[in-house]
Amino acid sequence: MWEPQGMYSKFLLKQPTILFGDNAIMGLKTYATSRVSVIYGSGLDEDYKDKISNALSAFEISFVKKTWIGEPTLKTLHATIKKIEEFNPDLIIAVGGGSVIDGAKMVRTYYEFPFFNINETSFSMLNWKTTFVAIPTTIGSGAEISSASVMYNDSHRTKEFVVSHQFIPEIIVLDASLIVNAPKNMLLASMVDALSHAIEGYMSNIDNMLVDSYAEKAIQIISQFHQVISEGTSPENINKLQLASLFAGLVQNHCIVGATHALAHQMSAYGLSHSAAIAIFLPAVIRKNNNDQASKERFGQLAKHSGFNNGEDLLTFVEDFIAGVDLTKERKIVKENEQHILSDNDFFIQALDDKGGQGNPVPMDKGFLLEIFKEACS
Amino acid sequence: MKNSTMTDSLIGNNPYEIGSEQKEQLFSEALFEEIKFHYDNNEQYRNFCKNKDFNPHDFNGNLEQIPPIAVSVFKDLGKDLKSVPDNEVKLSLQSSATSGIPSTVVLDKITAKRQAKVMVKVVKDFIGAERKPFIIVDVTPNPENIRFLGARYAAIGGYLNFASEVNYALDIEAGDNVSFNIEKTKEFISSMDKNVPMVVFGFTYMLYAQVVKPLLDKGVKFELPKGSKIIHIGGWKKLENEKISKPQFNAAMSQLFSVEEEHVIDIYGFTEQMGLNYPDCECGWKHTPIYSEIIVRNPATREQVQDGEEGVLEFLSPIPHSYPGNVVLTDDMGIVNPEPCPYGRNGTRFKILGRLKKAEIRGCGDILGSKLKFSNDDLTLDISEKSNLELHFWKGEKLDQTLAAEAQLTELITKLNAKKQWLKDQPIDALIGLIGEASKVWLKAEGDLESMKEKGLAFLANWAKPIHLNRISTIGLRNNRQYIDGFLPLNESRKQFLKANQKGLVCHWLAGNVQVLGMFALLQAILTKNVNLLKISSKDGGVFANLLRTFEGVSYTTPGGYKIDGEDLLQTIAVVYFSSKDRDLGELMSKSANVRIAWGGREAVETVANYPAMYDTEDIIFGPKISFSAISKEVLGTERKAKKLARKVAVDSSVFDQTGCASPHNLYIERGGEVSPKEFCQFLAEGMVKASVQIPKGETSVEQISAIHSIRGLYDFKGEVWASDDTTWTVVYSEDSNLAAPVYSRVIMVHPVDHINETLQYIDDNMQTIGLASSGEKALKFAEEAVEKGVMRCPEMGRMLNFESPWDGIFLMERMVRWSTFGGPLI
Repeated sequence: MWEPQGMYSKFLLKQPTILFGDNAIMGLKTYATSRVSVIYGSGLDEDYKDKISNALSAFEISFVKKTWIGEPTLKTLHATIKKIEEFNPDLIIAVGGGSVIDGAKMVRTYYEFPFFNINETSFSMLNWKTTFVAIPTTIGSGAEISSASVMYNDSHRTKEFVVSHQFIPEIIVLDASLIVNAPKNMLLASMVDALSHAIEGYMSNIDNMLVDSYAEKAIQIISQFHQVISEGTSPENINKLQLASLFAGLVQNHCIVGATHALAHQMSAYGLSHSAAIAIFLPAVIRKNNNDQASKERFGQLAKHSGFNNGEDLLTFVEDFIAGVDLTKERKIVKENEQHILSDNDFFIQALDDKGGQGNPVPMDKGFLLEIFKEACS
Repeated sequence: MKNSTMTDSLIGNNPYEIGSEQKEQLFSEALFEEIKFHYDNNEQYRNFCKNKDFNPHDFNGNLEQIPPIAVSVFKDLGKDLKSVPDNEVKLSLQSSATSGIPSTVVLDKITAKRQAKVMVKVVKDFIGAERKPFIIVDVTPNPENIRFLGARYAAIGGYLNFASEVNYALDIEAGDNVSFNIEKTKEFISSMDKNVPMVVFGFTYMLYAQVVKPLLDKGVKFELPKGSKIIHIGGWKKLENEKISKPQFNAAMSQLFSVEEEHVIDIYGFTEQMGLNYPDCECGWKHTPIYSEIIVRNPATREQVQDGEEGVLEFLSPIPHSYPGNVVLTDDMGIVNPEPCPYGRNGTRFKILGRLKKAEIRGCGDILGSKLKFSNDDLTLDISEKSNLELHFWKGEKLDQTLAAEAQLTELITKLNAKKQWLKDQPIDALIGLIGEASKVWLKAEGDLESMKEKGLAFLANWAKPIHLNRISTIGLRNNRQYIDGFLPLNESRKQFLKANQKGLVCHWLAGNVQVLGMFALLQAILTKNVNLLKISSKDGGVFANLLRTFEGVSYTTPGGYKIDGEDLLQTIAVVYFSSKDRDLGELMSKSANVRIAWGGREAVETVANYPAMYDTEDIIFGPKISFSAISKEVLGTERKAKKLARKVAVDSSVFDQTGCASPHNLYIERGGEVSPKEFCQFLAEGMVKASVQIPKGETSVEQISAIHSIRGLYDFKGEVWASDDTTWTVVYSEDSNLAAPVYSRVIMVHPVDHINETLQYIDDNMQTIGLASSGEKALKFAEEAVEKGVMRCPEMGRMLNFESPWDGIFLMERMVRWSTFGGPLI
């Protein structure tokens, strides 16, 4: 006869090595490697390539420009995999934004486990022999600490999340020099994304006390240093924001985020960037969730622990921060499509089904999301 | 026993006078009188009858329905098998044991008297009532020769009752050498009355060795009086290897002694029914006297066969009184002739056709008596015999068939070595992918592979899945399979790098018992990028070639587009067969090998080990090993748990029909659990039924069937037996805790113990696997002690036969590569 097994909870914190500071990249020198492949996106200049080469003690280094655009598919990954197979590296570096890092995760998987099958394989076998290094050139997305790799299945025309903590890179290099020159508005929007990871992760119905402090620290750092973006970026402070973004990403990765992400994911069809969409929905979602007493108390606790007097103060900070981001274009798009979206049942069904939004502290239904959407548009 | 029994009145009759109808009742009454006596007075026999559901007191069936006792029972229990009090035992009689373990029976006065009486009556009928001059072809039975004569001493004594004068024809010399004294014998013959027929008596093998062999060539001839006879006893066992048939022997004897051929009389008899002699009648057949009867049984089913069909012989006789030897199933094969005897003798006519062959040891259980020393003793004396080179699988360039076998093998090895570079260039992950493609075909087990399904193919298919090969090669190559593809940091050092290299040519000598095992080694040799030459066993039956054929037309492309073809891989593998007696071919193969892998029994691995090889050749010997299982009482907490465990034991005992080194033959169960060892046997029996459906049994040889019956027969006496109606499976319960010799063919011996640690005493380095069902510290302690004593693995039950790495204490892949470094050293 079957007997119920005792239930238990498990905290898991996959903690990569984080190299940061002025010469973060030089930290790679201490790692033993024979052959290194560097997968990079469009914006990597020759100087930085030299910098990477100088930082490595390998015999051979190959630079491979990613062959996919946007979300990778097996087809668009192929040419990169081919180059990696031929070069046979034991250390792979991905330098770029979320798309580069996510794609490189899949390249590494297919390189090390040619028989890997998204649908059939248990990921427990992903026992890496290569070392994977992520060097993010953007801030906020948390891709560098994410267990998920997003791949577009071209035959089924579906987006596939491949999730395993094994996908988290072994080493993350937070090099501020790659960020400093990014457009101010983009940086601000990215920080909203990071804020949303910390807030929605903290508020998630998946309670994980272990990462709570990461959320609190992330918000505290962002509230303390956000002005550096507007006031003129210093590498030192950018590095702090990179760390805050990493902490927030870590929170998101261990707790499932909520309604903000559920709605924002649907807006990519309308050409909105992820962080802009997040910025549009985040305050409305917080307010909506705060109608629930327990949620409100939890949000208040987050506010206090991250240096605010109360929840209201934190919400005001979030709203002020977002007000500093130029969302003119995005708000216009939303406004234009408001009526269409409100009458589009599928939009909300998909949002409710969105795997990345299942952690909302208050149970969601269509009406719930509809109200948020309306408020965000007003 | 009363003074006048039915047996006494039966043996008052002459042996061959009474017709069959009249005999039937007389014989049957006497026989049952004896059987009832044993049933009432012999607890072991009564126990046996109960096990067999037979009670002589309310039995009214036919003779063939009486459960026969196998001769193995007398070998094992003989001395203790008594139906009379100890003080009535006068003598215990042991067979001459020309082969194997002797049988023992205990005699009281009654039995001895009966034996003597029926012997005289039968022999008289053939050589006449008057005493005659005897030439006994043996040494004088004086006290100093007793040791040399052994069991022959008593037999000679018996025949002296028929002798008027005696000449002992053999002289004994120093060192127990004997010689035929021709002069003395000639003198004896000439001193006798020329009109009185004489008798030449001896043991068949003594006559052959001392008379036929030495004297025939010398042209010696003795002129015996007309009507003389030659009688010989003891059987042909020792002559089985000599190239002489009974007619040839008779012709030679008749020529030597000038005796008519039909007067050369072979007398059959056996210890378990001593006293009953079966001489050859002039009609060429033997007869059962009124004192005994014969039944011929099918060696496999043990059913009675039709007259005229061959089978194993069962003899029934009321003569044995002190021990229950009245219905005995022998190891002898024979045939019954229902036609009446033209010479007027009554009694069933039969012939002995030879001995049921002893089960050939097919498994790993013929463990080494002592550690191999790899000395060249005795093996170098083996005569090498020329053999052809049979190419069982080779996809490379054709060999010149007109060349001699050795030249062909040399050419083959050259061609294989030429493929080393191709293999070197293949990424290990591509090789894994390609084998993975083949594993999909193996999993389907269609066509030629279907018969392999239950012989480990399903396991091989799972084992060869990429995910598993990836794991195996990672573990096997110092935690990073990619060492075989290039230099990588050694132990995370930035200064020193490590690389694994192919060794070159791996030569495999495969065994016939578990062919799939050879595949595990071959695949690991491929993953370490070695070319392979495999010599299959004569029992292979095309199995290995069929497995390899899977690679034909199979290819694998990596996600990055690298394509590897099965056809190319096949050019790196050759499967050959040649006689293992061809030393030249064996040596050539051995000398060319960079790695030698030998599987099989003692002789097979010793042969390989004794071939010359390069000084740095890596030797991997998977020699014979045995295994058992042990269950501690803690894991027998509930009936449900016990049943589950029993199913697992049943699987272990059924896979490969127990021919694997890791197959358990003995199972030790602790007393004191919720389920007793005996109760466990019942569950195990149920498990064996299920396993026989799940894992259908392969063909069982007649010899094997006989061995199964023999062990069942023995334990019907000694313990308890649960068994299928046919010979599919057998569970034997024995209070004796000694490790029983393997019988194979799904025979599992269950022994109760008070603590599993009692079984530690049976462990030495011949022991490969112990299937262990225990828990906690007890399990750990047991495993620690067991491995220290020599056991290689203590896996879970139900998975004992699952090939794993390490195997037999070896990480196979690590032994098939050469490690090289670059940079460093660190100190």
